Amino acid sequence: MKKRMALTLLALLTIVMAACSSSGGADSPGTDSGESGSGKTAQKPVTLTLLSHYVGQNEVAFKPYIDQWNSENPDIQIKLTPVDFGELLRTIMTKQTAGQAPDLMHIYTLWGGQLAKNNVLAFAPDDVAADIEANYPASAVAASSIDGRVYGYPTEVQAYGLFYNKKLLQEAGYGGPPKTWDELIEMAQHIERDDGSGMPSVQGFGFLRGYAGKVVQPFMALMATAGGTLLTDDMSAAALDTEAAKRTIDLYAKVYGKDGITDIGFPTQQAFGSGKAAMTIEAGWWAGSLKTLMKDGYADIGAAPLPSPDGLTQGSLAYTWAWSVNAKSKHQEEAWKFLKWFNTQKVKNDMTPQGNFLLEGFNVISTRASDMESETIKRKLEEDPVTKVFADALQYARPEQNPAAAAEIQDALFKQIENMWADKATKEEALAAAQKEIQAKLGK
Amino acid sequence: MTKHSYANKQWLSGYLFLSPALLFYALFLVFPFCFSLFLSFTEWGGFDLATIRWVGLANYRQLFSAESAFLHPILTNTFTFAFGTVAISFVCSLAVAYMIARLRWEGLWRTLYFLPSVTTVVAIGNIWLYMYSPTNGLVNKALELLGLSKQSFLHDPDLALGSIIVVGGWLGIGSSMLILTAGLKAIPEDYYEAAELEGAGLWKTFVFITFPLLRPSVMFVLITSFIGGLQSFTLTMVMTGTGGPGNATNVAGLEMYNQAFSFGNWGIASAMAFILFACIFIMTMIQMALFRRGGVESYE
Repeated sequence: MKKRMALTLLALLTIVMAACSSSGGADSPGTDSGESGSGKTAQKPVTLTLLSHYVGQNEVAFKPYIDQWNSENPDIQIKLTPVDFGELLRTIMTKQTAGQAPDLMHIYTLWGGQLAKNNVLAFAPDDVAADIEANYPASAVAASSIDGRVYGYPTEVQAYGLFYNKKLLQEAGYGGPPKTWDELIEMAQHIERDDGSGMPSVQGFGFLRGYAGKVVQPFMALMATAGGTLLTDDMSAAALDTEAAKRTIDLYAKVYGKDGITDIGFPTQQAFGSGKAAMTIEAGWWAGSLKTLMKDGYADIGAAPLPSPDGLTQGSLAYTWAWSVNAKSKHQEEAWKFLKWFNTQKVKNDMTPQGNFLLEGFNVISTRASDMESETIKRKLEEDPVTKVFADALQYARPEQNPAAAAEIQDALFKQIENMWADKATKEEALAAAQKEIQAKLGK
Repeated sequence: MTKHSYANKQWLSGYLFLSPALLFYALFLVFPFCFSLFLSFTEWGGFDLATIRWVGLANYRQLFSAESAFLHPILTNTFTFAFGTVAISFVCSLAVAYMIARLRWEGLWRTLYFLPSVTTVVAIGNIWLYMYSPTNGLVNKALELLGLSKQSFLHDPDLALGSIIVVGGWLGIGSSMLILTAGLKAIPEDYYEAAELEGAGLWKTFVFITFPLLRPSVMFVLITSFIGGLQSFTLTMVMTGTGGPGNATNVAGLEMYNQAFSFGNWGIASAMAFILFACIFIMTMIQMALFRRGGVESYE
């Protein structure tokens, strides 16, 4: 009896182990499961997995173009795997390690260095790279490249600018937005109103804060107006010991902290949406969100190029996303074929699927030259002065630098700026500490 | 069948019966533990197992270096958070458990106090985030009514950690109270009757009868709450996002999470995990030794 029971248990265990191993194998790329294809056999249809952060309404806007491709290309089928932005990098990480690497990925180019260092990205074939270099703004091409080699089609290319509330500026006697940093501070001080208990009831100027990008990217954008960058051009060294960096941290020190013009606890993001904050810095995509949030109140919103120290120099920071192909994909040729169609073929409104999708899903314009020349985009830019400010900024914005430790580097500067605002470090100490930390991370 | 071979077969059957549990234990506890210990001596970006690079003690050296923020302020914050939350939740839960044991509708009160423990930390964190709001939060409105100035609780580095500790402590009251209530119920009534006959008041009864007999429950509550406090990171993440301002509220769990999942430094994150493991182990040993010295033998 005992012997039979022991044998039954052993058999059960064997079945469980076998089931575990076979289920792992079924989803592995390179098998004939249909998940990732059928090797090099040309006749068999290939299914490519596409991982993106287009969820909810964005997925609804994105899917018709995927359906169109799938119906026109029965041999190369695209299967969508949408995940939230917050989970995207982690999902790529876990899928890559588990041997379930997606064939196509939509990635934030700040991660480019990190992904390239870990052999996740396939570089673009020569014809794709040449097309990208010829048809997108230089900042977008640079952001979608590692060591000068292009790895993807730039998509949501965004530059930073100044958002302002026309009504609040007019009430304070100003006819237009500030052109210099001094004007920005002076106007903000003049507009700021106190609720009687030490908190602003109306804020003149504030940053959106929350996480590193919300503070550091405007820092880099403003530093660009002073002629500086966070890192040297070859991204081998920190460049916070420059005059441009010192001037920018000086401007930041005037916003919050003991010498600040406003309170750091004031929720600028919500306040701007409800007409209680006069000026802030954000990328162009925010206009779409404000339009939805503010409805009729959006008529009060204006946008302008970032103020600069001298009021003459134009500067900003451009970040981008990119459509890329996984280096582990067994169907890279098919993957690039799909991306070429999605990013270069005109399918509707004289624009590419990507161009149409960006406009429909985000109210954002595509930066591909052929899309920009379409009547649809031209009309959009004529009708929408806010969008035009950000489209123009793309022509002079500097690319967001993306070494392997890019996210860590931004975090290091963010924490030092926060320390300065919390009066735990002087502006000189904060800048010196950030320079040292960033240098150490680059030297890893 | 000889006696020896029968014993052997019994031994085999025993292990076969245990094997599903052992397999589960090995797969989900032993293997991850050993793998993360191995990772703590490597550099790995988290994407491709083929890119794991052995670096020896470099990760530990980096964490113990003067420039590293891990020991201070991150580990200091972690211990402050753990001590603070345990102190608040233990004192409050002991008082609540002792008092509601003497009230009518004891079950109702216990349920009410336990409710926060069955609510997700994310919801609790968000509610307190609104309560601490510098512009229209409930806490600041109360301060305003008292004629005091408003405070940026989560933006002032001198207040931020304390503000989160209050929430963490409040959150822990329910579960601690439940365990202490069970401990209180296990104390025989005879002791209280004898004490009453001897003329002992409420305070003396508590000090000389209730508390000494409650020590095993107290020890369990203190050890588990303290370990939970050292491992906590969700509340900090929800309420501050990054452990800010600066590193003012950053704790080891949150830093590990960011190092691994945001920055791709799995080696550093694993080394942090083992330093925290060593800290928890040492603190638990100290707590157990202190209680043994005080006469608690239940957990030996």
